[in-house]
Amino acid sequence: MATTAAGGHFQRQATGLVREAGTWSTLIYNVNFISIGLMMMFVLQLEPAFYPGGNMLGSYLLALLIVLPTSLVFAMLAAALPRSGGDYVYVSRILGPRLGMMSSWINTIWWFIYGGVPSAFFARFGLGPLFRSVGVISGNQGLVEIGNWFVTPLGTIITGALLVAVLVTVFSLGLNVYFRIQNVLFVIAMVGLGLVGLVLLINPAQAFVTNFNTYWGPITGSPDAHQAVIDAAVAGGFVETPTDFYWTLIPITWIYLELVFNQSSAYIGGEVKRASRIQLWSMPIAAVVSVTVAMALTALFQATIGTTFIGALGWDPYLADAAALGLPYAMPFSELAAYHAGNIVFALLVGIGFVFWSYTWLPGQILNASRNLLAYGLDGVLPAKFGSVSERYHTPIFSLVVVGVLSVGALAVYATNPDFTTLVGIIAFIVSFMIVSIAAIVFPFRRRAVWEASPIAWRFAGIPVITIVGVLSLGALLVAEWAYLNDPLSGVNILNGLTPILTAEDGSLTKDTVRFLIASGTVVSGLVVYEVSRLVRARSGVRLEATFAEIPVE
Amino acid sequence: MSKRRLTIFYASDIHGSERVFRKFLNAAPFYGADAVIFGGDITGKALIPVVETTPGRFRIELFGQVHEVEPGAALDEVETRIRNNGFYPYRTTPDELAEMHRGPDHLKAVFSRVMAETAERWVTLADERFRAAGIPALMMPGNDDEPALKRILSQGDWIVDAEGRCVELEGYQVISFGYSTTTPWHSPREITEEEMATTIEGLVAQLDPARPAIFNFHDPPHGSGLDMAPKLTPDLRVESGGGQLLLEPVGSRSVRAAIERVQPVLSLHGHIHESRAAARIGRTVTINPGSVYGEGTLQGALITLEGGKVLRHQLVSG
Repeated sequence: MATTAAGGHFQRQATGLVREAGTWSTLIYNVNFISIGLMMMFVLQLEPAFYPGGNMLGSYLLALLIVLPTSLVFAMLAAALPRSGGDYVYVSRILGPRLGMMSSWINTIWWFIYGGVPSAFFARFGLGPLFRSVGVISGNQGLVEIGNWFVTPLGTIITGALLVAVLVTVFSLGLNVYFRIQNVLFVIAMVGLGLVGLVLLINPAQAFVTNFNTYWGPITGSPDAHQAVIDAAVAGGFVETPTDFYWTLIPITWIYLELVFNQSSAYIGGEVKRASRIQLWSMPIAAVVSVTVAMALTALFQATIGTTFIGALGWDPYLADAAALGLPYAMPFSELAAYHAGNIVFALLVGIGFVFWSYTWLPGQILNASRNLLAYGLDGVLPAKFGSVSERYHTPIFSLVVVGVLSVGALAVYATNPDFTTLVGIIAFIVSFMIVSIAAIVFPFRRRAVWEASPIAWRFAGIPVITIVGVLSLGALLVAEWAYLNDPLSGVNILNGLTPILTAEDGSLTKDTVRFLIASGTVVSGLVVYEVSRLVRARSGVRLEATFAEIPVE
Repeated sequence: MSKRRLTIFYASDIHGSERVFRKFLNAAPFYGADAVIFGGDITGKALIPVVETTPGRFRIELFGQVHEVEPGAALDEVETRIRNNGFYPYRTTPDELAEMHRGPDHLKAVFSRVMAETAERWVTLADERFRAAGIPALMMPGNDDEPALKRILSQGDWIVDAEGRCVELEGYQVISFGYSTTTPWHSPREITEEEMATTIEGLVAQLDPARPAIFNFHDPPHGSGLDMAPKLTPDLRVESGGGQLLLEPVGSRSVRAAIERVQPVLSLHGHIHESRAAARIGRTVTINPGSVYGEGTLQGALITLEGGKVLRHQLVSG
């Protein structure tokens, strides 16, 4: 028997992992799921246009402050319970299976539904603008028309469905190759952002106006297309007002949507020795790095292209016949950077980089949702078929296909029905994060032995640090939820301050109220699934509650 | 062939956790099982010195924190925490600690003695509990258990050291084997695929083909989904890409071949903690309940058999 001394103990030779997983890889995974590109795109397209008085840089900082406590909650729980499964594991272990299922199901169901969003963005903000910008710069009308086709509902559905199908197929055949490719794609996307920063730094501000007029003058019929965009927006109601804290706080909704998913590696914890160290720093650092990059580039856009033009550009698609450009969606910042550079190669590089950012949520959504289905299948909450893994490829093909089919269905709805608003589901996700925060608060008391044995058994003034962080997270989540319910663009704007606005003037429920009720329904649907499953399984002699019940120690 | 319904609780890989072992002792009455099978890897992997620095004062380094405690409730609590996490507390002196650091032979002797003492205590406890409840208990060592454990298990007067033979369990023939094929860690009980195939062949030869059989093999079948483990580099670094662990099947091909050929009713496995799964290989239900012993949770499987078939199975986390 060979033995070694390590720290304050002696180890004998036995199986076990001895080296930690790639730390950079874990950081990349979390930054990937945040999608710096989409976060910046939403802020630049929407905040100057529709949140008068909003300060984009201030919104980033506020969002980071609100996200960090929740990020730390997930980081600490991942360090204490280094297992795959994220909130399903944490909440089931600490608060019990019903709340575990409720929390996890919220994520699963919205990963299905949100499968329609990044798959639509792939065409709408990735491929469409890429082809359009290269076509406009090169004067190739064919490319412009291809770009325009991508952003039509049909183009969006076909392209997005193909992307979902390719991802499901690749994941079904084996994950290892994809994971290796993902690092390369991430580098391409980051290089794209770096080039955007470079061109904004090097080219003078006037170059953008000149180039924009050169490219868009012939298309719009206005030699000063740049000014025409501003004039059309102002005529349509676009205003700029001095910085206002309220309107800086409310649009954190668009940043939070991405930033809060800095904790995605919690779902792939696995049994990795010293995972704690990776998890502890990779989640909050991913949020800080993403916000820092986004703030730097946003400041460069403000300094070079100007907040006024960026705001006017955001208005343009909503001006119908009065629009200067007539595009169905505002240009992403990558397209603006391409015009600023005035170079086809640059447009290609930046555009390809942004194509990656446009759909980067999707692989994680499909994988996480399919992993949850697999776990439900193994635990008996869903039929065993969901818990099956292909013998040939070692992947949960059935669950992956289910997620893929549901994602394509969601894509079809998202691409054609404006009532499916981008932010609607996040209010349900926040409830899930609240449940996880409550689990964190009580963790040292309900699972004392596990907490004490964990690397995060810290106290401050005698109180477990994770309890303090959990309380802070709960407070921050309440602020975030309040912001969504007050955001006129969220699609669930049912509050004015703290006053409910549930009905229209005619007394009928507003669309926002209906969406709020649907999202609320998804919050409790996990409990329904659990109870139905429990009853069904009981009829075949299986006590589902035994799956998670703790055996007494005597 | 047994017509009566039989519910088995199966678990493995508790790796020295006192808390998890005590849960295992209670699992059968808790879940209403008729019998228990343990699939190997009982002993812990680490020893924590509890050093008496001055008379009546002990120093313990645990999870990066240093505890200075006096004998009594405080020391008992720390030692319980050590045991619950799968480690062995070892009361010693500064002089002996220095000797343990200097001399691998002395350390090895201490480790062996502490493991044996704990195993003997557990066997006594298991005998008492299972006998009192009338629960048949088949146990065996795993690849991480020192060879001495087999002798200790065989001393049980109620529990049965089932390894290396065919044991009758309520009308089912159970053959058990706790070795694994070679691992990068060179654990105490490893053999080659060829040796595994030969040993299994010998065990299968003891079976009556006309009666239902159960395999209790620590090593899971290759490529079954029960054997997915993180891919490692030659220097035992976990490989990852895109932030995710790269996984690969690491089970035994000989085990798989035997399952495919014999088609037992049920095949129970452990070894790969992170590969909690249930799958069919032909008509055989194969199960690896996984292990999270470090959390103080006992992962197991409840399998109900009737008429020579698996009626239902359920993975549980207690």
